[in-house]
Amino acid sequence: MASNEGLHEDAPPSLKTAALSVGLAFAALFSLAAAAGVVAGMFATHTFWTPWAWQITVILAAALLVCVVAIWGLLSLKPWKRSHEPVSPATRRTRRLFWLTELVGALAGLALICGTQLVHQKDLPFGVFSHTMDDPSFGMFSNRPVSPGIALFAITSWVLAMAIGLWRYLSADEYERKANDFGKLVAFRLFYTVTPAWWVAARAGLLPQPNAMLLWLVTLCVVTICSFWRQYR
Amino acid sequence: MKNRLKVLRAERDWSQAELAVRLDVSRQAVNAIETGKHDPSLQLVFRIARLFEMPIEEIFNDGE
Repeated sequence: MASNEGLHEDAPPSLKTAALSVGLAFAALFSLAAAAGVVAGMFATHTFWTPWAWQITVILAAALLVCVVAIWGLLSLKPWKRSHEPVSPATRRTRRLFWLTELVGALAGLALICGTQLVHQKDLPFGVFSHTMDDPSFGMFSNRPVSPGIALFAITSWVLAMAIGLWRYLSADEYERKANDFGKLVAFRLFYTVTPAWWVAARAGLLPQPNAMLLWLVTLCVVTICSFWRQYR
Repeated sequence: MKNRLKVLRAERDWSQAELAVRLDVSRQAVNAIETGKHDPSLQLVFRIARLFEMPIEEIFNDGE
């Protein structure tokens, strides 16, 4: 039998490390997408030296700074290489599929951000932030039209990401699948409760019209947080 | 459901990660089974029993 120093490492893997890694990965992806959107918008509107340019520069610098810090954090944590412990083939496969899903899904978001910035910045000073619920100008969640090409690319990327995500779910071991099921259950119950309540409140004029993408984003966050909590608690 | 997985693993000088590889599950799954946070499926229970070459009743105990 092989001697092993890890024999007494019976404590569960750090929830903090896992949560931090996921948060940093999201921060890196979103800030990179935001920076790409800013650059695309700048090219589209030739606003390098307009009165808005300093704001654009600050936001671009902040996005890049967040991206660099997030990547530095990920490199320090090395969530993909926690130790030299052996990893089962099933775990290796699900990890690879997880990152592939994130990458392909991020392509959809990136396409939407760049597409929105490139097409709709003629009359707007800068499209990353907005003060209205109906038209959040952050490209990924904007309600403005995008070109059919961008839409097809984003839809294809998203559908592909979902298919890879399903493959990952089916490849995962029963414990991870159960954790994922728990996350989905919580998120579904939340969605099931909040959506009609918001709709009724909007009809009464208490809230703006339900925002499908906001509901989707909250659902995604709840699934992710609850699944990871369940898996690494 | 209580089990003797940790003891049996220690007798063989296996880490959780090594046992996870042998069972083709994640280390978190092994940890969760050992600490009673996860009741394994029948399929996995049989796999564990085969790996340790023991009857299921000698590994798992439902407290009855």
